[in-house]
Amino acid sequence: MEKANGSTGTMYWPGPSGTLSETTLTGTINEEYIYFGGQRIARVDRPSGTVHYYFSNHLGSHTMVTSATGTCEQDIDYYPYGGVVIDHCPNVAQHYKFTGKERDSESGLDMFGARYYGSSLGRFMTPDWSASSNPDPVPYADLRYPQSLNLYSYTKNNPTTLTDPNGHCDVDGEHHGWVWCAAHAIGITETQKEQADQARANLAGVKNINVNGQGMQDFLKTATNQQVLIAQRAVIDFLSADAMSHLFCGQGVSCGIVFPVDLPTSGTVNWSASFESEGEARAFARTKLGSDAVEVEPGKWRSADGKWQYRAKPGDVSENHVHLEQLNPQTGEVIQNLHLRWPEGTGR
Amino acid sequence: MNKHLRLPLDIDLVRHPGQTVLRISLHREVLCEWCAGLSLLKEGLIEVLTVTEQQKRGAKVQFLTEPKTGGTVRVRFKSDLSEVTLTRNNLEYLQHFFLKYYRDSVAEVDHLDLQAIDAETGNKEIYVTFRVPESTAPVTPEEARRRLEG
Repeated sequence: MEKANGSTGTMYWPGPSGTLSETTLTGTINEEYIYFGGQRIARVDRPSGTVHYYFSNHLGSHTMVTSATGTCEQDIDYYPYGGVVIDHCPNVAQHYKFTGKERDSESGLDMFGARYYGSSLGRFMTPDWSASSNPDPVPYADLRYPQSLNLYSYTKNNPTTLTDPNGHCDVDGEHHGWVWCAAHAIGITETQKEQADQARANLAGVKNINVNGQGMQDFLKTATNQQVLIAQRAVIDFLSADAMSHLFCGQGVSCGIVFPVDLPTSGTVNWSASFESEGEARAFARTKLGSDAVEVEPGKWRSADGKWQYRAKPGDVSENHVHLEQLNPQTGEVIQNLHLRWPEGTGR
Repeated sequence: MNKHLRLPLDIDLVRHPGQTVLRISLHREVLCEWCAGLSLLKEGLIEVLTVTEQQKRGAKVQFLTEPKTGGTVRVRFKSDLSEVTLTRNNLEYLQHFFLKYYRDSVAEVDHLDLQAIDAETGNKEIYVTFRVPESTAPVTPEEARRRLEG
């Protein structure tokens, strides 16, 4: 970032916790900032190497600055919304003030990343903004707190307890940096809730998969955002797999396939084959079923891809046959029903 | 309107461990009337098709239909008869099978199963099975394999 007036000005080199250094427009370093635990703790002036130590309150507002020898260089009392009551020892120029944000010497406004804030008003100077594709007029509002509906308000009018890290990014209970916020405004980044809302919409139409022992609809009613995202990832992996695959959710979420009910129609072709023994007939059926078949009900198994069904009910076996059925895996329609027979008394 | 057919067929309720089968064994000579009855039911020209055993105990099955496609056949066991409510696709499946049998004088297979649910108890291990006396001879395992591979 750059603040310039013609050929003179300052360049700000941001880091994850704030500005790391300030240079001239040609890159000569004037100040370097030291952070610990996300808090600004010191400034080193260049080229002199003079060190200033920062002491902050619970909001991150720099209340006191001292020299390396402990001499008071700045000792500020703040009003609740960030205005300066008094500086008890104004001995050094220091422009990072309320909640550690830079206070512009010309306008007196604090730069919060996304917007400027006026501590004299206790309000941001511009309304909270969002992506043009997002029609929500109060994009960052938390409807449980009416104060958040004011697009200019600061920390829901609770400035002695809350801080605003970047001008608007208390989104869905998540705190983000201004880069994330800018990306969020144009739809590049999403909160977990936003991702989960989209996942819920995607999964709502999924009928043949159950999660945590429930049908998808019931699961979505009670699942956490994280569970919904895990389930979505598993379903996408499963549905996009080229080969037959398992549905695996993991991370405390269990998924399974709910097969459609088998549905004989007038298009179902019935035929039979005769085998030497029951064992031979069953072995034949298993070649189509695969090793990871699912027992969909007692005496009825479905291949993992849902294309084949093996039916061996007590009534079938007692009359020397089992069934191998080819199904439409989406609709459950029985395409063909093969009766696998064996002579009486041949055993398994 | 109802249609009542008194036919030479066998109606048995067979109980296996965990499964109940309502078995209806048709004789060849009933085929024409049976197919006509199914067609009347499917076309909505009758509401109930009642079939009574001519011989033995005179057991009775009433066939009804409902317009929905999909879903499961519902069976209600009463003291003197069994009531079978067929969904549209199941009725079409039955009709197709028996009309083909009528056309060819031989059925594709020797029986046809319809899975059902007990309308009173919700038990899903109920089957309605239709047995026929003449069916196409089974193919060999090699032929079965060839057909499935093809």
